[in-house]
Amino acid sequence: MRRISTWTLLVAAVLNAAALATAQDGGPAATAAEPTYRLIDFAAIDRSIKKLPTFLSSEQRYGLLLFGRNGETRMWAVMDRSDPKRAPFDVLYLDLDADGDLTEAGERFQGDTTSVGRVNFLIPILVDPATKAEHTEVSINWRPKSDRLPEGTRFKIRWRGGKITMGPYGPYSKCYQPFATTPQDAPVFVPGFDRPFQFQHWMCDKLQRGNATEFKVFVGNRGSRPGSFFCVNDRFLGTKDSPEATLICTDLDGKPLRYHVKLTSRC
Amino acid sequence: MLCHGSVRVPKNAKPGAAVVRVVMPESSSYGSFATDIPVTIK
Repeated sequence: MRRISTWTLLVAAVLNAAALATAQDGGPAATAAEPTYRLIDFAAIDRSIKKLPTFLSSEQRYGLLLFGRNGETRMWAVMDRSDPKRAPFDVLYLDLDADGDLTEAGERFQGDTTSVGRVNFLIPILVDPATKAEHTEVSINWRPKSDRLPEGTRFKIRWRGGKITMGPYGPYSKCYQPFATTPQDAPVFVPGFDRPFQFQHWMCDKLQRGNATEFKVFVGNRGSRPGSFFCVNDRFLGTKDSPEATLICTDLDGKPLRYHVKLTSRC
Repeated sequence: MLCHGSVRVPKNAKPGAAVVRVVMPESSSYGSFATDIPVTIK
Protein backbone atom coordinates (compact mmCIF):
# COMPACT_ATOMS: atom_id res chain seq x y z
CA MET A 1 0.00 0.00 0.00
CA ARG A 2 1.32 3.42 -0.91
CA ARG A 3 0.39 6.32 1.30
CA ILE A 4 0.55 9.92 0.20
CA SER A 5 3.27 11.68 2.17
CA THR A 6 2.41 14.38 4.68
CA TRP A 7 4.52 16.90 2.75
CA THR A 8 2.75 16.11 -0.52
CA LEU A 9 -0.60 16.49 1.17
CA LEU A 10 0.44 19.79 2.72
CA VAL A 11 1.51 21.22 -0.62
CA ALA A 12 -1.64 19.90 -2.28
CA ALA A 13 -3.79 21.33 0.50
CA VAL A 14 -2.30 24.82 0.10
CA LEU A 15 -2.59 24.83 -3.67
CA ASN A 16 -6.00 23.26 -3.73
CA ALA A 17 -7.56 25.00 -0.76
CA ALA A 18 -10.20 26.91 -2.66
CA ALA A 19 -10.99 24.09 -5.04
CA LEU A 20 -11.15 21.35 -2.44
CA ALA A 21 -13.44 23.31 -0.19
CA THR A 22 -16.04 23.94 -2.85
CA ALA A 23 -15.76 21.17 -5.43
CA GLN A 24 -19.27 20.42 -6.56
CA ASP A 25 -20.19 16.79 -6.99
CA GLY A 26 -17.04 15.79 -8.82
CA GLY A 27 -16.98 18.64 -11.31
CA PRO A 28 -13.70 20.43 -12.08
CA ALA A 29 -13.01 23.42 -9.86
CA ALA A 30 -10.97 26.43 -10.96
CA THR A 31 -7.83 27.43 -9.07
CA ALA A 32 -5.40 30.28 -9.54
CA ALA A 33 -2.38 28.01 -9.12
CA GLU A 34 -1.78 24.69 -10.84
CA PRO A 35 -2.61 22.06 -8.23
CA THR A 36 -0.64 18.92 -7.55
CA TYR A 37 -3.80 16.86 -7.92
CA ARG A 38 -6.67 18.02 -10.05
CA LEU A 39 -10.22 16.83 -10.48
CA ILE A 40 -10.28 15.10 -13.85
CA ASP A 41 -12.22 16.83 -16.60
CA PHE A 42 -13.74 13.79 -18.26
CA ALA A 43 -15.32 15.83 -21.04
CA ALA A 44 -11.81 16.75 -22.21
CA ILE A 45 -10.50 13.17 -22.40
CA ASP A 46 -9.11 12.20 -25.81
CA ARG A 47 -11.15 9.24 -27.05
CA SER A 48 -9.12 8.43 -30.14
CA ILE A 49 -7.54 4.99 -30.59
CA LYS A 50 -4.40 4.94 -32.71
CA LYS A 51 -4.64 1.42 -34.10
CA LEU A 52 -7.34 -1.23 -33.73
CA PRO A 53 -7.01 -4.95 -34.47
CA THR A 54 -9.15 -6.68 -37.08
CA PHE A 55 -12.26 -7.64 -35.19
CA LEU A 56 -14.24 -10.82 -35.80
CA SER A 57 -17.57 -9.66 -34.43
CA SER A 58 -19.75 -6.95 -35.92
CA GLU A 59 -19.83 -5.12 -32.59
CA GLN A 60 -17.34 -4.57 -29.79
CA ARG A 61 -17.36 -3.23 -26.24
CA TYR A 62 -15.19 -0.26 -25.23
CA GLY A 63 -13.99 0.98 -21.86
CA LEU A 64 -11.20 3.40 -20.93
CA LEU A 65 -8.95 3.30 -17.86
CA LEU A 66 -6.97 6.33 -16.68
CA PHE A 67 -3.65 6.07 -14.87
CA GLY A 68 -1.23 8.66 -13.51
CA ARG A 69 -1.39 11.52 -11.04
CA ASN A 70 -4.18 13.26 -12.89
CA GLY A 71 -5.33 10.48 -15.18
CA GLU A 72 -3.15 11.65 -18.04
CA THR A 73 -2.29 8.12 -19.23
CA ARG A 74 -5.05 6.31 -21.17
CA MET A 75 -5.44 2.54 -21.42
CA TRP A 76 -8.16 1.26 -23.73
CA ALA A 77 -9.91 -2.03 -23.07
CA VAL A 78 -11.85 -3.42 -26.02
CA MET A 79 -13.82 -6.67 -26.07
CA ASP A 80 -14.59 -8.79 -29.12
CA ARG A 81 -15.97 -12.27 -29.80
CA SER A 82 -13.72 -15.11 -30.88
CA ASP A 83 -16.71 -16.58 -32.70
CA PRO A 84 -18.96 -13.90 -34.15
CA LYS A 85 -21.96 -16.25 -33.82
CA ARG A 86 -21.41 -16.82 -30.11
CA ALA A 87 -22.78 -14.39 -27.57
CA PRO A 88 -19.96 -13.97 -25.05
CA PHE A 89 -17.37 -11.25 -25.47
CA ASP A 90 -14.49 -13.59 -24.77
CA VAL A 91 -11.58 -11.69 -26.33
CA LEU A 92 -10.04 -8.69 -24.61
CA TYR A 93 -7.61 -6.24 -26.16
CA LEU A 94 -5.91 -4.27 -23.39
CA ASP A 95 -3.52 -1.47 -24.30
CA LEU A 96 -0.95 -2.38 -21.65
CA ASP A 97 1.65 0.20 -22.69
CA ALA A 98 -0.99 2.89 -23.22
CA ASP A 99 0.32 3.84 -26.65
CA GLY A 100 -3.07 3.56 -28.35
CA ASP A 101 -2.00 0.59 -30.51
CA LEU A 102 -4.13 -2.46 -29.72
CA THR A 103 -2.52 -4.68 -32.34
CA GLU A 104 0.71 -5.32 -30.42
CA ALA A 105 1.83 -8.72 -29.22
CA GLY A 106 0.83 -9.55 -25.67
CA GLU A 107 -2.18 -7.25 -25.62
CA ARG A 108 -4.78 -9.83 -26.72
CA PHE A 109 -6.30 -12.02 -24.01
CA GLN A 110 -8.59 -15.01 -24.39
CA GLY A 111 -11.11 -15.24 -21.56
CA ASP A 112 -12.56 -18.30 -19.87
CA THR A 113 -16.29 -18.66 -20.48
CA THR A 114 -18.35 -20.09 -17.63
CA SER A 115 -21.36 -22.39 -17.96
CA VAL A 116 -23.70 -19.39 -17.54
CA GLY A 117 -22.02 -17.42 -20.31
CA ARG A 118 -19.89 -15.11 -18.19
CA VAL A 119 -16.30 -14.50 -19.23
CA ASN A 120 -13.33 -14.14 -16.90
CA PHE A 121 -10.04 -12.57 -17.91
CA LEU A 122 -7.11 -12.83 -15.52
CA ILE A 123 -3.93 -10.80 -15.97
CA PRO A 124 -1.35 -11.79 -13.34
CA ILE A 125 0.71 -8.59 -13.52
CA LEU A 126 -0.13 -5.22 -15.04
CA VAL A 127 2.71 -2.71 -15.11
CA ASP A 128 1.21 0.72 -14.55
CA PRO A 129 2.00 2.67 -17.73
CA ALA A 130 2.28 5.92 -15.77
CA THR A 131 4.07 4.97 -12.53
CA LYS A 132 5.63 1.61 -13.54
CA ALA A 133 4.20 0.11 -10.34
CA GLU A 134 3.13 -3.52 -10.61
CA HIS A 135 -0.56 -4.22 -10.06
CA THR A 136 -1.39 -7.88 -9.64
CA GLU A 137 -4.33 -10.29 -9.89
CA VAL A 138 -6.10 -8.09 -12.40
CA SER A 139 -9.49 -9.65 -12.93
CA ILE A 140 -11.91 -8.43 -15.60
CA ASN A 141 -15.30 -10.10 -15.84
CA TRP A 142 -17.94 -9.69 -18.52
CA ARG A 143 -21.50 -10.85 -17.98
CA PRO A 144 -24.31 -11.00 -20.53
CA LYS A 145 -27.68 -9.35 -20.04
CA SER A 146 -30.08 -11.51 -18.07
CA ASP A 147 -33.63 -11.21 -16.71
CA ARG A 148 -32.20 -9.87 -13.46
CA LEU A 149 -29.18 -7.84 -14.53
CA PRO A 150 -28.07 -5.74 -17.48
CA GLU A 151 -24.89 -6.56 -19.38
CA GLY A 152 -21.89 -5.56 -17.32
CA THR A 153 -18.13 -5.53 -16.92
CA ARG A 154 -16.40 -5.71 -13.53
CA PHE A 155 -12.80 -5.05 -12.49
CA LYS A 156 -10.83 -6.16 -9.46
CA ILE A 157 -7.15 -5.19 -9.12
CA ARG A 158 -4.63 -5.79 -6.35
CA TRP A 159 -3.17 -2.28 -6.57
CA ARG A 160 0.64 -2.22 -6.30
CA GLY A 161 0.36 -5.84 -5.24
CA GLY A 162 -1.33 -4.80 -2.00
CA LYS A 163 -4.89 -3.81 -1.31
CA ILE A 164 -7.83 -4.21 -3.64
CA THR A 165 -9.43 -1.61 -5.90
CA MET A 166 -12.59 -2.54 -7.77
CA GLY A 167 -15.44 -1.23 -9.80
CA PRO A 168 -17.46 0.06 -11.35
CA TYR A 169 -20.03 1.11 -8.76
CA GLY A 170 -22.72 3.77 -8.61
CA PRO A 171 -25.58 5.13 -6.53
CA TYR A 172 -27.82 2.24 -7.63
CA SER A 173 -26.81 -1.18 -8.91
CA LYS A 174 -28.83 -0.79 -12.10
CA CYS A 175 -26.62 2.12 -13.15
CA TYR A 176 -23.29 0.29 -12.85
CA GLN A 177 -21.73 1.17 -16.18
CA PRO A 178 -21.17 -1.55 -18.78
CA PHE A 179 -18.67 -1.08 -21.58
CA ALA A 180 -20.11 0.85 -24.52
CA THR A 181 -20.47 0.02 -28.19
CA THR A 182 -18.30 2.95 -29.35
CA PRO A 183 -15.15 4.68 -28.04
CA GLN A 184 -17.03 7.98 -27.87
CA ASP A 185 -19.59 6.50 -25.46
CA ALA A 186 -17.13 4.41 -23.47
CA PRO A 187 -17.24 4.86 -19.70
CA VAL A 188 -13.99 6.18 -18.24
CA PHE A 189 -12.68 4.61 -15.04
CA VAL A 190 -9.93 5.69 -12.62
CA PRO A 191 -8.67 2.65 -10.68
CA GLY A 192 -6.43 2.65 -7.63
CA PHE A 193 -5.91 4.79 -4.56
CA ASP A 194 -2.93 6.98 -5.49
CA ARG A 195 -5.05 10.12 -5.81
CA PRO A 196 -6.99 12.00 -3.10
CA PHE A 197 -10.23 10.15 -2.45
CA GLN A 198 -13.65 11.07 -3.72
CA PHE A 199 -16.98 9.70 -2.55
CA GLN A 200 -20.09 8.17 -4.09
CA HIS A 201 -23.29 7.58 -2.12
CA TRP A 202 -25.07 4.25 -2.17
CA MET A 203 -28.89 4.41 -2.24
CA CYS A 204 -29.23 7.23 0.27
CA ASP A 205 -30.00 10.40 -1.67
CA LYS A 206 -33.44 10.79 -0.06
CA LEU A 207 -33.50 11.92 3.58
CA GLN A 208 -36.55 12.24 5.82
CA ARG A 209 -37.03 15.20 8.19
CA GLY A 210 -36.94 14.18 11.83
CA ASN A 211 -35.44 10.79 10.99
CA ALA A 212 -31.95 9.32 10.84
CA THR A 213 -30.68 7.77 7.63
CA GLU A 214 -27.74 5.42 7.45
CA PHE A 215 -25.62 7.37 4.96
CA LYS A 216 -23.35 5.08 2.96
CA VAL A 217 -20.50 6.06 0.67
CA PHE A 218 -18.02 4.32 -1.57
CA VAL A 219 -14.48 5.68 -1.14
CA GLY A 220 -12.31 5.92 -4.23
CA ASN A 221 -12.25 7.68 -7.60
CA ARG A 222 -15.08 9.03 -9.65
CA GLY A 223 -15.36 8.01 -13.27
CA SER A 224 -16.86 9.81 -16.22
CA ARG A 225 -20.50 9.27 -15.23
CA PRO A 226 -22.64 7.83 -12.43
CA GLY A 227 -21.98 4.12 -12.16
CA SER A 228 -18.30 4.33 -13.10
CA PHE A 229 -16.85 4.74 -9.59
CA PHE A 230 -13.79 2.70 -8.55
CA CYS A 231 -13.51 2.06 -4.81
CA VAL A 232 -11.38 0.50 -2.11
CA ASN A 233 -12.86 -2.29 -0.01
CA ASP A 234 -14.37 -2.05 3.46
CA ARG A 235 -11.15 -3.06 5.21
CA PHE A 236 -9.04 -0.34 3.62
CA LEU A 237 -9.73 2.51 6.06
CA GLY A 238 -9.31 2.12 9.82
CA THR A 239 -11.68 3.86 12.23
CA LYS A 240 -9.33 6.85 12.66
CA ASP A 241 -9.46 7.35 8.91
CA SER A 242 -13.26 7.50 8.80
CA PRO A 243 -14.67 10.00 6.30
CA GLU A 244 -16.62 12.92 7.72
CA ALA A 245 -20.06 13.84 6.36
CA THR A 246 -21.86 17.14 6.86
CA LEU A 247 -25.49 17.65 5.92
CA ILE A 248 -25.80 21.22 4.63
CA CYS A 249 -29.33 22.57 4.45
CA THR A 250 -31.53 25.35 5.82
CA ASP A 251 -34.36 25.51 8.31
CA LEU A 252 -37.88 26.57 7.41
CA ASP A 253 -36.86 30.21 7.88
CA GLY A 254 -33.89 29.90 5.56
CA LYS A 255 -31.22 29.87 8.27
CA PRO A 256 -28.25 27.56 7.63
CA LEU A 257 -28.29 24.15 9.32
CA ARG A 258 -25.37 21.73 9.63
CA TYR A 259 -25.32 18.16 10.89
CA HIS A 260 -21.92 16.53 11.19
CA VAL A 261 -21.17 12.81 11.51
CA LYS A 262 -18.19 10.50 11.15
CA LEU A 263 -18.79 7.51 8.91
CA THR A 264 -17.18 4.97 11.23
CA SER A 265 -19.12 1.85 10.25
CA ARG A 266 -18.09 -0.46 7.42
CA CYS A 267 -19.90 -2.99 5.30
CA MET B 1 -16.65 -1.49 0.48
CA LEU B 2 -18.90 1.13 2.11
CA CYS B 3 -18.29 3.58 4.94
CA HIS B 4 -21.46 4.64 6.72
CA GLY B 5 -22.91 6.52 9.64
CA SER B 6 -26.25 7.87 10.83
CA VAL B 7 -27.27 11.26 9.44
CA ARG B 8 -30.19 12.80 11.34
CA VAL B 9 -32.21 15.47 9.57
CA PRO B 10 -33.62 18.10 11.96
CA LYS B 11 -37.41 18.33 12.12
CA ASN B 12 -37.24 21.98 11.15
CA ALA B 13 -35.13 21.36 8.02
CA LYS B 14 -36.58 22.83 4.85
CA PRO B 15 -37.75 20.15 2.41
CA GLY B 16 -36.07 20.08 -0.98
CA ALA B 17 -32.52 20.02 -2.34
CA ALA B 18 -29.57 19.86 0.04
CA VAL B 19 -26.08 18.39 0.02
CA VAL B 20 -24.04 16.07 2.15
CA ARG B 21 -20.38 17.12 1.97
CA VAL B 22 -17.99 14.21 2.50
CA VAL B 23 -14.29 14.62 3.16
CA MET B 24 -11.44 12.72 4.80
CA PRO B 25 -10.52 14.06 8.25
CA GLU B 26 -7.51 16.35 8.48
CA SER B 27 -5.85 13.85 10.82
CA SER B 28 -5.90 11.14 8.15
CA SER B 29 -2.87 10.36 6.04
CA TYR B 30 -5.23 10.02 3.08
CA GLY B 31 -6.21 13.16 1.23
CA SER B 32 -9.52 13.82 -0.44
CA PHE B 33 -11.43 16.11 -2.72
CA ALA B 34 -14.38 17.35 -0.70
CA THR B 35 -17.38 15.87 -2.47
CA ASP B 36 -20.83 17.45 -2.32
CA ILE B 37 -23.42 14.72 -2.74
CA PRO B 38 -26.85 16.08 -3.74
CA VAL B 39 -29.71 14.80 -1.57
CA THR B 40 -33.41 15.52 -1.28
CA ILE B 41 -34.99 16.23 2.08
CA LYS B 42 -38.60 15.05 2.30
